Amino acid sequence: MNRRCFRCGSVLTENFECKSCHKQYSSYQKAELLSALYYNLGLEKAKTRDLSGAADVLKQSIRLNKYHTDARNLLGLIYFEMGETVTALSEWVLSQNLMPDNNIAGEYLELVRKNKTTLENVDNTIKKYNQSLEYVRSGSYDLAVINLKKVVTMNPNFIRAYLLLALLNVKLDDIVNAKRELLKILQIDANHRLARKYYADLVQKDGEEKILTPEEETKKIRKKNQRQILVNQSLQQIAILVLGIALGAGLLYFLVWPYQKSMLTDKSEDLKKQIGILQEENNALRQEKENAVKDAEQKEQQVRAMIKEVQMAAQKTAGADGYVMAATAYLNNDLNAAAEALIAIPATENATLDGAITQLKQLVLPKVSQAFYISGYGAYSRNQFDKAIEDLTLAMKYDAGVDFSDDVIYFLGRTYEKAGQTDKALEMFKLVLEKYPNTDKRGYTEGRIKALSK
Amino acid sequence: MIRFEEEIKKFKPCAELSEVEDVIYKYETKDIIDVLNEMIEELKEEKSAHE
Repeated sequence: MNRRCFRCGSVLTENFECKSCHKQYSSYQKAELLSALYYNLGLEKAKTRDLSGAADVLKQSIRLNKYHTDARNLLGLIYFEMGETVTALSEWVLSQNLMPDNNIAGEYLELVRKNKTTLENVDNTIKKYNQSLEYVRSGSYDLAVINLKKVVTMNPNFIRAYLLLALLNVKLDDIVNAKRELLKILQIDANHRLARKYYADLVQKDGEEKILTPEEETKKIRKKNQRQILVNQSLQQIAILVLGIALGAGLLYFLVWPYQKSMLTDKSEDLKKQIGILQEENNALRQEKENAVKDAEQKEQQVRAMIKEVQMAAQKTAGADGYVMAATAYLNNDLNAAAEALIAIPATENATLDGAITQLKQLVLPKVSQAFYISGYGAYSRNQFDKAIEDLTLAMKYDAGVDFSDDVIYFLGRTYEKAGQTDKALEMFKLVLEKYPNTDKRGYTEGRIKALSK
Repeated sequence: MIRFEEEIKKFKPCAELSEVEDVIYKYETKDIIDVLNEMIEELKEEKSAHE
């Protein structure tokens, strides 16, 4: 820095002392101190995003001391942040000129120069902004709005563009969008005077019950946005879930299901084949069973025939044996044993043997039956009913159709009657009438039946 | 109340990149010391003119 003596024009030392005049200039010192004070203030404001406030005090700082490089560089940064790139570049160029050594402005300039895309972008936004201003002045508000929207998209910190956009929205009676644009400005520069003024006017015009400060409005919007984000996240989660299910279903349908289907089809075909095989086996088994049943029936018929033959043979044998036994007893004069044997002989289907048996029966049975009848009747007469029943029953058993056969049954009935066995008595009386309807005892018999039936 | 016509007058065209040099040349870089120096120079000139 080249501060010079008011009197002689010599260059002053760092302590603002003139070596020729031997005088120290405290006014220089005061100016520098004041400049530093403004710089500190500007720095504080910049930290709280009060960019326009910071720019004001930084301008004061460099008006007091043009060599305050930090103040000028910071001013350049603030202009850059506000989208005023050309002004920012001017400050840094001047800063570099005034203090060529150890100056960060050189680095800033270098960074901007290197990034040609940014520079072109900045140039385009400035041109579009100026064009929009022309549109506004010519009354083409809609064109201006469209242009300005492009500008703020390209350079999201360009406060001038937001401000003009807000003003145009006010003109077009779109207060909500106007407020939104103003809030964007206040997010970049918290104390932007014009933005605050416009915003306060719009709030009053809107007739809101409670006039919120821009900070409150910003918080409100942030809260609303956070709520919206939460809702969006929930919706996203639901959407992801639904999408997941849909994808799963799709995968199942397009990938897994065809595979499963082919598997099931294969299995089904296998099962069909197995069923076919089983049916064939079943048919074979059924045929076998039918054959077996036929065989069994044939064998059963054969067995039955054999049994019949055996039975026939047995009957013949039994008949022969019984005859021999009866004949032997007869020859030994044991008529009762002969009668017992004869009664037990079945039909032999052997005519010769049957004839022999019949002949023997005619010889034996009437005698035996008669003997038991006499004995039984005697017992009946003596009221020995048990003995009478026994003997008369045997007489009836060995009955061979002789002339006293009806008497035998009649007296057996009478014995039962006397013995108190009415049912058996009635049975015997009815048997007399059934077997011997012309019996001489018919009257008696009917009388007894009548008497017992009462 | 915002008056559009009046407010729009406050909006000036932005300097383009091609105009940076002009902006810098037009930039008033003088600080208060420079102003004081100028004033003293002027006083000195007046004084010498009277003498």
